[in-house]
Amino acid sequence: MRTTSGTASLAALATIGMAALTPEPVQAQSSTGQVSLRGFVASRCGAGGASGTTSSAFGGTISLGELSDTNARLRPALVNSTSGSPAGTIAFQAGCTGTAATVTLSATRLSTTNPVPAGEGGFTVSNDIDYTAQVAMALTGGGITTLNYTTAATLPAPSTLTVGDGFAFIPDNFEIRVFGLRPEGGDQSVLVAGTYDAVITVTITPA
Amino acid sequence: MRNPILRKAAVLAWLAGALLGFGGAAHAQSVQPVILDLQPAGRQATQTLTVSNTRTTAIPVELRVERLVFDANGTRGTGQDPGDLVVFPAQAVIQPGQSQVFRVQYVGDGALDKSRHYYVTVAQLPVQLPEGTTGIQVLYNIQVVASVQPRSGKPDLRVTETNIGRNTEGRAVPVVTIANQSATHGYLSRGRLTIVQRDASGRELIRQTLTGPDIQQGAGYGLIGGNEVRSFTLPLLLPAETGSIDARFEPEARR
Repeated sequence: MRTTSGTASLAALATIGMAALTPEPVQAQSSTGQVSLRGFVASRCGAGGASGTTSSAFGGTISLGELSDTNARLRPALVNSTSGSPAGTIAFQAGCTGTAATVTLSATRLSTTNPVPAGEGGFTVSNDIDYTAQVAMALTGGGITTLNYTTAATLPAPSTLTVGDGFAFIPDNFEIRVFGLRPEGGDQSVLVAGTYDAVITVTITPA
Repeated sequence: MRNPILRKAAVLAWLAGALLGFGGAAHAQSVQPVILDLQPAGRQATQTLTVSNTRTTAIPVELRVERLVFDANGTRGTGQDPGDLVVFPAQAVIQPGQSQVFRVQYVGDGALDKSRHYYVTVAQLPVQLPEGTTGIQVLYNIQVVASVQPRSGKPDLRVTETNIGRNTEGRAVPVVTIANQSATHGYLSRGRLTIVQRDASGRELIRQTLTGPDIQQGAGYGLIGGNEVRSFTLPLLLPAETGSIDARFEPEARR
């Protein structure tokens, strides 16, 4: 609410400024009076403006680099990553002005389209990696609330949270963390060579 | 600019513009408005929404429509597009610093017996990552609530139940149940709610009026469909965890 009224005040200020700059006929007499200002700021929702990501090459992408160790298994740093020490993060500003909002989080598995070779006796080979995506949101009243989504062979329903307290109107009030990576078949699975990609979707809905 | 008043005004205007611009830049992709109220026919059957891209890269977006229904938790998308809304264009690539206006038109049944509701999702589309890049793309979707009302009628919102609940921090807050006794949808935030809490002896502990903006900020728009009932947890901390709650809703004069 502070944001909305603040923006409204600034809009009024801008109007005053622009009005003062508009050439007007010079009046010889002076007079006093009241000028009423009335306006509104329509609610809007937005997201993006990513910063502080682990990817410098591609905006809006969490780059995990080389996934495998020298034995072609998922790197222990990715397996052992946690919410407090994630494998990758991306921060951005999101939310709605003037209204409470619901945040929905979903994700797809980290996969390559390269197929699992047939007849790999003795090894478990995988081309799919599951992980947990977490969105941490800074709130207007202070504090942080989180929402998690963990991928699986059959993707679960999206996770949803309504934030009535409002999002802090500050840069990077949202942070997405990726952690707890697990190849299908377990940590000892050998990963198929290829390019792995996935999508995390954050949906903002006015409540 | 020699006139100091004009110079000051110009600085203020620049400052305001710069700060307002920051609001847009902070949200690299923004959608406005996020609530559309449509009529089943005539000029008001069509409205527009604007998607702005303040990123340094183009954003491919797609607009998807799904029917919205009410359940115990509020509203829920059905995942089904009944074809009642036509969005044009349905897809666009919005260049850096540019905005795209999308037209939303209701083309469904013109003789509605009650309001209908839809989500129009502005969905960012994934792009092909460069060959050899391993990564997780983060996509931002923003949903717009579009409602179509019957040709005539206006909402009739009434408080049917009050309780003391808890907010996300575990503090005591009022929970009100609102019934819409009209076939036309309404919004709790388009009115004022006066809340009174009394203790067991009838002594008044708190009396507070929540304005529309208060409700919208703390509980959302509060969409209530035609002939629907919804409960809302209100953004008002109560001084006691027990006692009785009275609530009175006054719709704003015009809708």
